[in-house]
Parts: sequence; C-alpha cells; structure tokens
Amino acid sequence: MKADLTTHLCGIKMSNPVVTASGTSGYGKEFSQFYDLAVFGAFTVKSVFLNKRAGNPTPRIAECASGVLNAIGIPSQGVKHFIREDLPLLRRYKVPVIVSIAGLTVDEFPQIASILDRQEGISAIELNISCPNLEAGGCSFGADPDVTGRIIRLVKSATRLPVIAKLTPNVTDITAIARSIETNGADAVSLINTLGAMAIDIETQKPKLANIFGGLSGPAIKPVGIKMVWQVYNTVKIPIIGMGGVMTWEDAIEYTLAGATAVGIGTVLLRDPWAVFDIVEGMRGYLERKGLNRLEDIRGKVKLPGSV
Amino acid sequence: MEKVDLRHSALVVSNNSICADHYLLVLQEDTLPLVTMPGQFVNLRINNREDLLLRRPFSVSLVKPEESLFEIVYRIVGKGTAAMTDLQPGDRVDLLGPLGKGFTIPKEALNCLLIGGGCGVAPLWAVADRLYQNNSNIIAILGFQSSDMVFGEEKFRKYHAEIVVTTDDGSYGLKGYVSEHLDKVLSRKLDRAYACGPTPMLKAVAPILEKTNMACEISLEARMGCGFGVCLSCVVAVRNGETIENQRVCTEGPVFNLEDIAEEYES
Repeated sequence: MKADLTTHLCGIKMSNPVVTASGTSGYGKEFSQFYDLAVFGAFTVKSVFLNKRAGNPTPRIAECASGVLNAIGIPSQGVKHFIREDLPLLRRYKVPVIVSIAGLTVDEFPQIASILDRQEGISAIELNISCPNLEAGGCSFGADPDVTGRIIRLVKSATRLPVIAKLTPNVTDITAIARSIETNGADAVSLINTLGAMAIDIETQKPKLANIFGGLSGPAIKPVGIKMVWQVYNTVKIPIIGMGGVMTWEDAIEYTLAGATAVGIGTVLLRDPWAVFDIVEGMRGYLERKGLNRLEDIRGKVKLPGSV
Repeated sequence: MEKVDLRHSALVVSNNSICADHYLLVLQEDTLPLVTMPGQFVNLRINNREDLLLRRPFSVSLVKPEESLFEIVYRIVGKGTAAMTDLQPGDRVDLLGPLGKGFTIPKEALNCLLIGGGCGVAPLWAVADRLYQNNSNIIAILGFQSSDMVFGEEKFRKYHAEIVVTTDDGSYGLKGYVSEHLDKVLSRKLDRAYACGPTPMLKAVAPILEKTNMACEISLEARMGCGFGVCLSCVVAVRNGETIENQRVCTEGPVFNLEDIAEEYES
C-alpha cells in the first residue's frame, strides 16, 4: 500500500510535508522554470517588506565545512510589488503559498499582513521575526518573548489568514519564545532560522561577509534544529515546520521523529533545485519500508532511553 | 511552459596542470546544450563532497560541439579547487548549466580587443574562436602574475591574434598590469573590446575603456550561492536608465556592457 504523505498544517492541506524555507527559493520564478511548483507541499516565499530595500553589500555568502554563511540582507521590492509582480505566478500552481513577511518595526508586521489579507492565493503568513542579519549584533524581535508575543497579537488582529511564527535559534531558551507565540495566538511555528555566525579569511584578514555577521545554514546546523524542534514539540501544541540543514529524506524523517509536522528545505535547493523530488519520495519509501501509512505514525516518536 | 533541466553528468577527459596553480579540465557531455554564447558558465559540484557544500562556477573556455567537449581552466584558490585536482579521466562531474549570459559576437568582421587576466584569459579563447570564424581581426592583451603562470598564448596564436603579454613582475613579456599597457593597443583601430579577469583588473581597465567610444563587454567575477538566480548572493550595481539597481551576476551576467556597470567599476 502506498503511504499517504498528505499533511494538514493549521488549515492548509498539503500533498506532502516538504516546504521551501523562506529566502532560498525567491518567489518561485526560478524554480518554476525547472518544474511544477506543486511538487512542494507548500511554497514559502522570500520575506516581503513593506517598502523597497536593497539588501547588503557583497560578498553576501561564504562557505564553511558543511555549511553556508549568508548575509543577503533580504532585498525586497516591497509588498505592493510582490502582489502585483510575483503573486500572480504563484497562483498558477496548485501549491499552497505561505508569504513570509518582515518588518523594520513592530508595527510594520500588521501593516503588511493587512495588505496581504485581501489577496487571493495566500494560504498563510509566516512572520520573519528571527532573521539575524538585519540588526547589528544579530539581535532580533524574535529573541524577546514579549515583543514576539505582541507582534503575533497585532498580526492576528490584522488578518484572517493563519499565522506562522518563525523562530530564531539565537536565544537562551527557545521554549520561552515558543510558549509566548502560542499564548498570543500563533497557528503554527517554524524553526530554526539560521544561526548567527562569522568567518574570517586569514590571508586578507577580513571577514568573509561584507556584513561581518551572517546566518549559518546547511548540514552543520541540523543537530541544533533537531534539538530545538524536539524541545518546542514538548512545549506547545501548535504544529511545527522543522527546518535547518535538511539535505536528504533521511534528514526530513529525523525532523519528523523530533516532532515536525512539515519540513522546510532551503540550502539544499541552492545546490540541487531538484532535490525536493528525492526527499518527498524518500519519505514515502521510508514509511512503506517500516510498514506505516502516514507520517503521524512517527511524528514526535523518537524513542528515548528507557522506552521500548 | 517548457521546463528546463540544467542537470548534467560530465565525463572527465583530462585534468592537467597547465602552469603554476592552474589546471585545464576537459569534460565531455552529450546532453549538455553546448554553450552557444562564450562567457557562459557551468556550476560544478566538487567530488560529491558534503563538506564542500556549494557548487563552484566556472566560465567555459572552449567548446568543441562536434566531440561534445568543453574546457574549463581553474586556479587553485581554496579547498574546492584544490579538491578538483583529484579528478581523474573517467570520473563523472555533476554540473548545472549552461548558466548566465555570455559575450555577444558580432555578425560582421570587426577589429576586436581581448583583455584577459589570469584565469580570465581562458574564456576569451572561446570569444577568439568565434571572432576568427567571422574573420574579425583580434588583438589580445593578457596579464599574468609571473612567467610561471603564463598560459594559453598559443591558443590565441591559432586565431592569428596579435598578442601582448604582461606580467606583474616583468618575468615574461611587458612588466606591469594590463591596464598600464592598454594604451599601446588602444592607439589601433578598434571596434569592440571584451574583458575577463579578476575584479581589480576589471576595475583598472574600466575607466580607460570608458574613454574610448567602442562597445565593451566585461565578464564579472562574483561569489555565488546557487548560480541560477535564486539566492541573490552575487549582485552588482547596474545602471538601468536613470536608476541604479542590483542585478545578478549569475543571471543577468556574468557578461555586462561596461557602460551599464555602475560607478564601482568606473572609479
């Protein structure tokens, strides 16, 4: 019997649990040249700001062992441009669209959300409260449970769409943030965003990124993501989109065992845009090999010491 | 909409050192729509190693479509390129391509100047090859660090190019940078220039070329993430009418009209 990967996440019905991680797949245009975007369970776009912004100077990317540091700085043409120029392409595909939004101030989040609320073809809003690149020192809205909670409340009152909060791992206690966003009405939570990082070229003795600090992604961060997903799974009841270093279907299964309902992929798409096909089919194959029908059968079912 | 599949597995035909730190990698791939514009690039996965996570972009230096062959010249500059020297004939290389926009080749015979520096000399072979086919007159000025890093002169000679070689230390050809000797060739009748090389060289030749009235195309280097336009790592400021906007070296480039490349390449 063929395993069923159908996934339900805060009211969104997805054909499979694999979603794009915001910022690694633009607004769908490039990947739509390669394949039907409906291969993804959902498509999360690069964060949209209220107004146009250019992003950081170059170099914006650097590699480290099994990881990538980036400080792109989220260039955006602004939310109105997104609606006019980017959203129509996404509507052509039978894929739920999650619009990631980011604000320079707390108040910009509900402003953007209310503009998006009136648009067709959006399944949910994801709040990028966690990008570590935007402010000096890598601090962000998402590091403060109270600010995070306030943003959730304001956005919830500005839109009928489900609201997903994307958490930064650059915090002392991820469970405090998770508790705050659930209490304040978030419908789902995605984690982890990139880890604050820095690299130096020893020949030039300069930082490898023009922004000095960047966010680390890729296989190097997967164990951090697995730990935090497991912690959050044991803290809140809202569904989790787990991400951070997923390169293969094995990684996606690992996140599911840690408690993720859906799994985000990002860095792998920069190297292999077609990786999504193998990840989806590999997850299905795993379930079948284990004699299981649904991902629910393994979600959060990591066998801890002492369990049978 | 017709979907594009950029994935290819190329066979390593040879991978030999051509001068200090530089290798010529010859690849064969039947299904790759062999690069029609010289200056386009391919993005190579390094020996399927997970620690070398990202692909490395290399401009294609020459294609021989009749044999499904194409060449890449690379310099050992880091872990990725060092690992590439392990490639043996018979190995397979996973690549995405062809990518980007290359040099435009005129239909008519023109007087063309090729300006190359280091590894950037190699993609100009493909330009010379195409220019030679349309009976253009070619002058090539090629800069290298020192005599042990000089390569590829003979390739241009094959296209009956007039060649000027410079080395930074004067150990071969003229002493100094190509930018310091550009005046020697600019006095000639020229219609068009093509430049490819390291960023400092491009920045040095740009203001000199700007003063001439000829059309100039330059191929930019950039640190890339994906190579197909999605990550926005490799942007450069480009003049678009009255405004200046960031464009992607991997997608709108790597070859740009010199006049469109904004201030940073002109001052």
